[in-house]
Amino acid sequence: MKKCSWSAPAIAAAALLASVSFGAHAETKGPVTDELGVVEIPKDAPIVIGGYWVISGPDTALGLDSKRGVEIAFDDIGNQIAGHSIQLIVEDDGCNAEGGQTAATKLATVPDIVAVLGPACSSAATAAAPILWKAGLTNVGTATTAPSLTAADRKPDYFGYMRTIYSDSDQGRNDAEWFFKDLKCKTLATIHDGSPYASQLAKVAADHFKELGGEVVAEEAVTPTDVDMRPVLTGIGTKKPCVVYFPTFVAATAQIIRQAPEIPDLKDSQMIGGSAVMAPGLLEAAGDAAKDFRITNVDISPEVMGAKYPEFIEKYTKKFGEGPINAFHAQAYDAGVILAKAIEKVAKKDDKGTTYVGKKALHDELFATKGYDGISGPINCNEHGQCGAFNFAVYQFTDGDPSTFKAGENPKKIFPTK
Amino acid sequence: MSFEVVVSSRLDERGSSSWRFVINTGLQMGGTGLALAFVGILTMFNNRPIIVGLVTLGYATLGALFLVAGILVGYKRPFPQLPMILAGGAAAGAIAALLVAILPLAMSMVNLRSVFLSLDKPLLDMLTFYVQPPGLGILCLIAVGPLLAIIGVLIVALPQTIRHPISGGIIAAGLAGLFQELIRPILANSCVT
Amino acid sequence: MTAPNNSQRQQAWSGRLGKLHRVTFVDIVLWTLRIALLLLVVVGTIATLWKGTYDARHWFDFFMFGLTIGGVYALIALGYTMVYGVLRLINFAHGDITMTGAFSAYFLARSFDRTGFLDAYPVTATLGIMALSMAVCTASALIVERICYRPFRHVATLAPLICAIGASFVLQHAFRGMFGSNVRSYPDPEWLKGHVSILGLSLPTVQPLVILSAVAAMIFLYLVVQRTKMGLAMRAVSEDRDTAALMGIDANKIIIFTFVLGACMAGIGGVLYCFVYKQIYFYMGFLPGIKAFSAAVLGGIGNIPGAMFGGFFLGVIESIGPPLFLDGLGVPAPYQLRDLVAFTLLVMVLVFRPQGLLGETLVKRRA
Repeated sequence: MKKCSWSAPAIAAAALLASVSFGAHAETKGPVTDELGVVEIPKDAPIVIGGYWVISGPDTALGLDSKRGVEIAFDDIGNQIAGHSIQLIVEDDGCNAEGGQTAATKLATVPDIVAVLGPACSSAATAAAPILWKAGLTNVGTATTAPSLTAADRKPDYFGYMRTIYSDSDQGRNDAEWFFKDLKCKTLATIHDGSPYASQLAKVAADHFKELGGEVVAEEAVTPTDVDMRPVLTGIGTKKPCVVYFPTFVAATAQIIRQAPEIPDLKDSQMIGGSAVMAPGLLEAAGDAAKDFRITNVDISPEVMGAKYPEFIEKYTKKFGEGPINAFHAQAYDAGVILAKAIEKVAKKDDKGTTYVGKKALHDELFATKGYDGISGPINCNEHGQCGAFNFAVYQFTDGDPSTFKAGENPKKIFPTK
Repeated sequence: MSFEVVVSSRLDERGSSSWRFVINTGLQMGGTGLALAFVGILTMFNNRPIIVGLVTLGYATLGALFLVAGILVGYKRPFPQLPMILAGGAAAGAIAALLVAILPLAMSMVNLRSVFLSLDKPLLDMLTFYVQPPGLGILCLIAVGPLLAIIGVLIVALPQTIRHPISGGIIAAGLAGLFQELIRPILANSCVT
Repeated sequence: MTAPNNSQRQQAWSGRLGKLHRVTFVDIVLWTLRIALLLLVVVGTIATLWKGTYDARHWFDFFMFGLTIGGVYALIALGYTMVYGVLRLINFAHGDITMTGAFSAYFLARSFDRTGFLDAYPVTATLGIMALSMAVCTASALIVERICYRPFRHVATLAPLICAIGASFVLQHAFRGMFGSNVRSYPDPEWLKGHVSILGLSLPTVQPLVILSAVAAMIFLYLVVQRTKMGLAMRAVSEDRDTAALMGIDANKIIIFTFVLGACMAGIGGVLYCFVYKQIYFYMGFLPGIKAFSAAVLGGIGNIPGAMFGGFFLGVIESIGPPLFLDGLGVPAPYQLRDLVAFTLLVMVLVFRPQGLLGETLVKRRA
């Protein structure tokens, strides 16, 4: 029997593969012409929206909370945009650059995807946003706070990126003011973990602290997976800072607060963490050491949030069987809502019922969002994609048992007190 | 004098009896199935349909384990006559299925999810074939094992002219189902189809 | 016996001359490297002590912490060294076997903590946790042995090594699938917190606890290996497997016994590691495993006292080394280079003395 040659079918398959094209380019489909491409959605097909968050590992609560916020937003609009059902494709980015790159590559190759929501980690967004923008996809960030992502001098790769969350340039300034004015501290030491979020936030806080007249005695770094924090804590201890600020993620923060009591030099220093650890994962990883631990964060108490926030909490608890597990669900909800509104506005139907959405038109519409009263606060987008507002608060954990975690109670807000 | 006889570390090739082999095969396949369930692979695979509405990758994997039990017995031929080999294969499949069935039994009595993350309700539903009450589903599982193992023995026992097309067809259908999301855009975007 | 005559003396001389070889380029590079590193260490040390960032209390803290973590490394290194002695193979999965024990013992520790048993009966509870850890380590070690080492017993290939590396990954990700990728923490009982004062020096309670437990385990192991019949058989098999078989020793049983012993030590070491670092996640076994392997090689692979010594030595160098050598040279954040210092030390010791510090126990004389 003659043996089949495999080369011919293989070459044919490769040629077919090559004929599928990706990437943004000007095209006209139906009634819509757009310079970044047009998404064609047939009559009964779903609208595909992408999402990428950290949904595994120690920081799962951060991404999962945002994802749930988006899902509730879509539930509220009946899971329908412009007469099509919504299909949300979610990828896991693991809260690091490689994960963000992988997630973005996967999402960019999904056929007929309209826009992308997420992520929760600035490290992932920094890698992913350029890849998505290359495919013409606008990326609405839900919990990424690194200032560089919407800075005025950001590179053209990031023009497709916007976010409904505040920028850490606000968080860092408020942190420094709280340290200087309320804690009455004149010396500050910072520890970051090399990620864009932590390093930029620590830098903003340190710079503003210096402007206020304080002294930054140490700016150290650890890796996110370090277990032995004693050398860095001993080194900082020799300088005897009044406050030690470490806006690191769950694993590193837990190690620091566990090991800090063993360093005699740090007995009088105040250990303050950042917003990434308002999650049950911190209590799981740190146990009793998390009792009385304070973190600076955005204010998520009902008095400060938008009017519809308590209603949102009810829906969240009903749908998922537990209260919010992190601080950024409201921003994700708002991101989902403004995306849906923008798609509705930009979509054009032809007489066969097929919907066409121009990618650049969607981008421009999203960036023009102004005066929207979201549940996380007023949403006003500037030309660099910064849409979220910021209210500062400090939270304190009251109990080390992970089952007692409830945003607002454990940890509870201790500042501002009115 | 031959020194090879004396070196006892080389003498671990004990002649295993035929039934011992059958039992071992069943235990190994059952153990593999349990391990896959514990680690969460079965649940993950179950979300991936091969033939939509009929067979998911999870069921294909589980079925493949029982099939392989039968195939191994068929290859080794521990008994001279075919009916005995079929019985041996069925026994191996039954042992494997019994071992795997311990899991839904335990899960329906005790909630293990607090310790083992993957042993959740979707896995229980999958292992009991979505049949209520779970006891009936467990019996279905125990019945499926020997059935697939007998098929496995038959696949080996059949002559090559029949075996090749059947196994080739099943494998091709499986691969097409597995890679459907890759194949679909190619077919949709190409000028040929 | 005649006095050495002229021809014999000439032979001795030419023998000695023959040992002198031409100095090659590689020799020069190696010697330059050795001298450069030595200079770095000496200059760095002098500069640090001159700078005086750390006082005697800090150095003592570093040293004691080094001993603590060194004890853990030593326990894990014992597993590597014993398996090498008996099988002449490195069990690369050993670090992850340690992880399996520590992870499983976590659940027991948590339930003890929740019911208050851990605080009320510290010794019994700790022994119970260690027993579970040892049992699980033994089970996974035996599974790895059965799948990765026994089929390759009589063939001299790299297959068992690669199989063990594969087993290491399988263990890591099996535990990830079973228990999730979250980081979890061991409970913090009251008797482990705070400081204890020994001989007028104040130490965190966990340190003397870990050091003493590690030393106790090692003494126990040494007694088993030196004084019992199984230990004698183990030493015989590691010296010459075929002759031991001639003496009636079943190599299979001895190999299993070796794996069990190594796994028990790893089980204890894992629990102690968790008492020190408190966080467990599926990947935690990898780095201690590699460091323990380096410690075993440092002390002389196949040599049990060597592994113990190597472990303590590596722990101390890892803890004291970066601040001592690098702080004076103005390197910022020297603790980040801790692993670099530890592994450079390993390489340097092996370059100067390839058989390890205490030498391999290879048979020196054969009849």
